[in-house]
Amino acid sequence: MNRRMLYLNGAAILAVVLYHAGAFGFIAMFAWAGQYLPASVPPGSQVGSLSYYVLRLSQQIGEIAIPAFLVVAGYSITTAVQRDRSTVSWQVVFSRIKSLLIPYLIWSTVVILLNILQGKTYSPGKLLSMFLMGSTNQVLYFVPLLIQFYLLAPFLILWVKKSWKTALVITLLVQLFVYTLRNPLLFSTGNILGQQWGYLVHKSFLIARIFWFPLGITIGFHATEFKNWIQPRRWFFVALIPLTIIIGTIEFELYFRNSGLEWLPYEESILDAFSGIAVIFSVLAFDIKRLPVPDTVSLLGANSYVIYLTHAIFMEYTARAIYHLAPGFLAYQSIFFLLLIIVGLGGPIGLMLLIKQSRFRPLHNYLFS
Amino acid sequence: MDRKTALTDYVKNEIMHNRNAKLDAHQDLIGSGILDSLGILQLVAYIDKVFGIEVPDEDVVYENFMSIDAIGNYLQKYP
Repeated sequence: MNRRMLYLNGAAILAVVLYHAGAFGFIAMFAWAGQYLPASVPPGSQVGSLSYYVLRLSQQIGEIAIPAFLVVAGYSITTAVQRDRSTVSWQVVFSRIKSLLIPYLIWSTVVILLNILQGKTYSPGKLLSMFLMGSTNQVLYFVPLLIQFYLLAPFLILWVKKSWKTALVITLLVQLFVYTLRNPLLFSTGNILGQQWGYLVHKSFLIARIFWFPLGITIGFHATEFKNWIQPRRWFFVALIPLTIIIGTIEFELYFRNSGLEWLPYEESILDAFSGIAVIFSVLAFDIKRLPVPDTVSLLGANSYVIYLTHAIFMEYTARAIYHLAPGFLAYQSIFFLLLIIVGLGGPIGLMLLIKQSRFRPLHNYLFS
Repeated sequence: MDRKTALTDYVKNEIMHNRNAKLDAHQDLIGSGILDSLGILQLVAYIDKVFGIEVPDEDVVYENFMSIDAIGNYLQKYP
């Protein structure tokens, strides 16, 4: 199960990169369309193209990433529970938080400094909220989210140990309720009710992803039973992946087409919870040797935090360079998307290797954990 | 190279990313934060790959992985 978890982490970081490359693809398709389309052609004319569906699919697949990361984190914390104790020690909790927090603060500061150099200004209050909520860029919110789960881990472990079924049922119900609340955001322009709920269930608050960490804890404490349960059902979960992704794509298209808007940013729905379960259970059901490119994906899994913290910076500056230097390239969103995936993976790994081979190697753990 | 030395080298180079780091064989890897959530998964994968030992899930526990000594002692049951 441990090796499968490392693989799952690698699959999750690939999904993250895919998701954000797709998000930049949509920016090229809509917000930056003026760079390559004649003024008389609306950006919305590209809806329904092959590139449009490639990007849509990337968003749909990308939604499995955060659930997968949280399952791995929940699983992993169970290995740090001493046999003679009922739950994990605060020493372990704080050491894990520390290993997350230092690189997070460094890279959040880097993002802010880069923005300040370009003329942006921030009030102290705004800066504080950006650090607390991980909103310095579109990806860092996961770190405050994970820290909240670590802070609750001693209590969640006790709950799961006492009654894992109750813990899973209750957190799943809350999770589904939150997904339902987030759905109004799909129609949110001008919808005050939807926006209010949106703030209450912001993606950096643990309530928005409450189910996945306890699921990981449960798998950790019942690994053998879980393997025995999942193994005969593995093909069911594999089949569920394309099914939930296709239905999710159709669901979003219905929201989008009925919204009357030129473009609608992606929001999760209940179907994403089922996609998440399908992908996580499929990966965990197979022996590592039967999963595609196990060594490469596991290696990505081992270095996922480096990639997570920095990939969006590499992507953003590459995308902006293309916007200024080769705007015509933005018309080919599928190729633009592929290029950003390469940059989003290659940039962080290249940076890490560079640091490792330089005299700055001792700083590696501060920068990347 | 014996297992404990190989494990120490691996932890220093691939987990602590500092081959000159000080690492005592009895040092608490988990409590001190050296082995974080991914570190322990990496170490289990390394043991599988390099020593050919597939550590059962129920054995991946604090007591077996808390230090290089503990891991070495645990692996002694696999000749």
